[in-house]
Amino acid sequence: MADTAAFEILYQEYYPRVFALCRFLLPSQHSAEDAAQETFARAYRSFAQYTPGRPFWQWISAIAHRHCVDQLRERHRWRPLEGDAQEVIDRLQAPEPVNIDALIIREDQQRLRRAIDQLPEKYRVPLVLAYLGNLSYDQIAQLLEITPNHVGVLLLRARQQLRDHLKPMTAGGPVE
Amino acid sequence: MNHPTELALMLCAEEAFAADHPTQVRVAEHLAICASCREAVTALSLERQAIAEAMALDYQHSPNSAGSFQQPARLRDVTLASVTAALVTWLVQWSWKSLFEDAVFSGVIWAASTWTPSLYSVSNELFLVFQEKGADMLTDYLAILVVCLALAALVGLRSIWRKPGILPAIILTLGTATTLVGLAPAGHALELIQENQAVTISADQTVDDTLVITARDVAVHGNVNGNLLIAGEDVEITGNVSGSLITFADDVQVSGNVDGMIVAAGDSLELTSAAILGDLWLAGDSIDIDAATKIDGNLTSASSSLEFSGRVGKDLVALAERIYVSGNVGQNVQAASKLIEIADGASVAGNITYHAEEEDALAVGANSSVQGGVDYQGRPRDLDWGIHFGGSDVVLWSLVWFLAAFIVGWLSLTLFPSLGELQLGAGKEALKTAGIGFLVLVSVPVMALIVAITLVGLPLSFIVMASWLVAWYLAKIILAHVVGRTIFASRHRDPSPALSLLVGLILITAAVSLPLIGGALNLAATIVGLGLLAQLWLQQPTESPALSN
Repeated sequence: MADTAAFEILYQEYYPRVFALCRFLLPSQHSAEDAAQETFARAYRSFAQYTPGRPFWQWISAIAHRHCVDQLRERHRWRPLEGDAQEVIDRLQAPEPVNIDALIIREDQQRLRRAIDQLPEKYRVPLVLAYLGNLSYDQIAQLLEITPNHVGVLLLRARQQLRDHLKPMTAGGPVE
Repeated sequence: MNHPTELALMLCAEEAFAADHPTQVRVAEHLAICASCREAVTALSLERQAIAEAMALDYQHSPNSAGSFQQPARLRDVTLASVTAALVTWLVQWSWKSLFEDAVFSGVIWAASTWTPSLYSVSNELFLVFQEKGADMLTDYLAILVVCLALAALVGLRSIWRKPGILPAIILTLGTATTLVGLAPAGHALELIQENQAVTISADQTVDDTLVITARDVAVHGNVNGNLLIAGEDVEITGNVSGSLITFADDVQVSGNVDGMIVAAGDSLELTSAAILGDLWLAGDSIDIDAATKIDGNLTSASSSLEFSGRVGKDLVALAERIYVSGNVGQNVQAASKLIEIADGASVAGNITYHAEEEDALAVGANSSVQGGVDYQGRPRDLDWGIHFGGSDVVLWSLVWFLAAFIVGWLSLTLFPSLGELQLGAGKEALKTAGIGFLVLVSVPVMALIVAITLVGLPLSFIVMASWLVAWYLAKIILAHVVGRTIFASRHRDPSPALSLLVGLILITAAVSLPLIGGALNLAATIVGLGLLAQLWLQQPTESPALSN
């Protein structure tokens, strides 16, 4: 178990990031707060397993990821394969030129953030794990119990939905 | 030109595959010759960066103040807190009631009003005080002991499992709850009568509680709907007792009905037209049971003489100088006596098994009935507690002791690792340890006796003696572990505590089983072991060189 005073410092420093991570992964502010608290509680209890030298964020975010995914599973909200049948994957793999102009590169961050928020969980969760949690495809695949290829497909679908959502603005200027 | 898919480019941009993965190789080869796809990969990387930055922006919208970290309330902590709170509350209540109200007040009143310099009176008073106060206090002390043991067990579990899981916490909670429920004030369904002269429960009286009487002469002609405990000189029971009868007196006469068992000790015990539904346990100089007495259970007696003319439903087990049976025995007779007479008219439904100096010590009347066989089993065995090295019983007993000692020792060493760190010093230090052990061996029972005769001290005395007995049992085990460790240390080995204990126990068991000197070695081992335990308790371990040196 951790030294309480030292852990308090870590808590103050990392709570906002852990909360943000949980908030992206879970459907409500309340559940994100609970998840963040539980993440730190678990970290406190298993602090003996923390390897000094390893980035603390890497360790605690892994706890948060697992807890949030477990929460989604418990609430039967995590069904990544639905809507991603093989034909969809095949279509994504078919030759298709990349429209660079459609990519989200210089986007209003607030709008982009809101768009991410509106993504279905099956796309938002891998997106958050990959781009906020910086997990590898293999790590995400292991966590979500899918294949690394499927992770790629979900990420691509997430990006495409974001582009679709932001298209009016990228095509013709800001539209509120 | 056939371009890779967006998925392939994205996987490549995000380095999802290893460098030698076929897809990665194919895409890399394509990128080397296709500027537009290289541009697409760069754009996809920038897109990823934009998305990541947008999400990182959310940190700013997190709560500004995280507050303080709240330590998780673990089940163990909640359990321990509940147990501690309950224990403290109960201790306060107990201290007030038992120590102040019961002990101090009652003690002052008793000392001021009833003291008479008579051994008989003092023993009666002590008996009564024990019945009135001691039983409850004993329960309380035992409960404290149980709770302490439960807490100690939890500590032990923690040391074994590093962190206690839910299961031990649940076990502890249930155990403690049970204990606390058991601590609920016992119903004082107890009626106490104390007189210096005579107590009579007349035939028209009915006592609906357990009745305790101490007096010189006691006569119970009425009904007691409960147990009856009597200490006196002359006791006469002609009424009915729905529970059991326990009595200690010079002369006991029972002619009533007892639904439970009878335990009686006295000079003269006489049952006349009595009906006992349970067993009969009698010890006295002379025991006389008339023809009209009926016992449904067993009759077990030890006396100088036994005259049995009644009916016993089960076995008759008797140890007496002279046994005379003229009644009916429902099952077997087991006797040890100089003279056993099965008189005319007697009947034994089972076997007769007897020990006597001579086989013809048994006389069976011509008109008696013995349906089973008669088995003479030789002379009564002397009470020889000496060690018969190699005797099968002794070997079996030693084996049982050895196994029990190993299990107890291993548990003790696991739960209390400090026991495993005890060392026996050399020279004067060893003598000092033995001296302390001898003092503990001799002085603790004396102190317990002194404490026992004080008003509050009966339960405390019991606890002291119980602790002493536990230490006495553990002494040789602990010494065995020390011996085992010393042997391994001399060979520059560091074995597990269990192995040290095993080796030490083998040696100790063999040593105390030796003929002639086994008893002395047993005593010496016990004394030294007690000394080690006492030193540990006093936190004054003997200084000695490290065993590993």
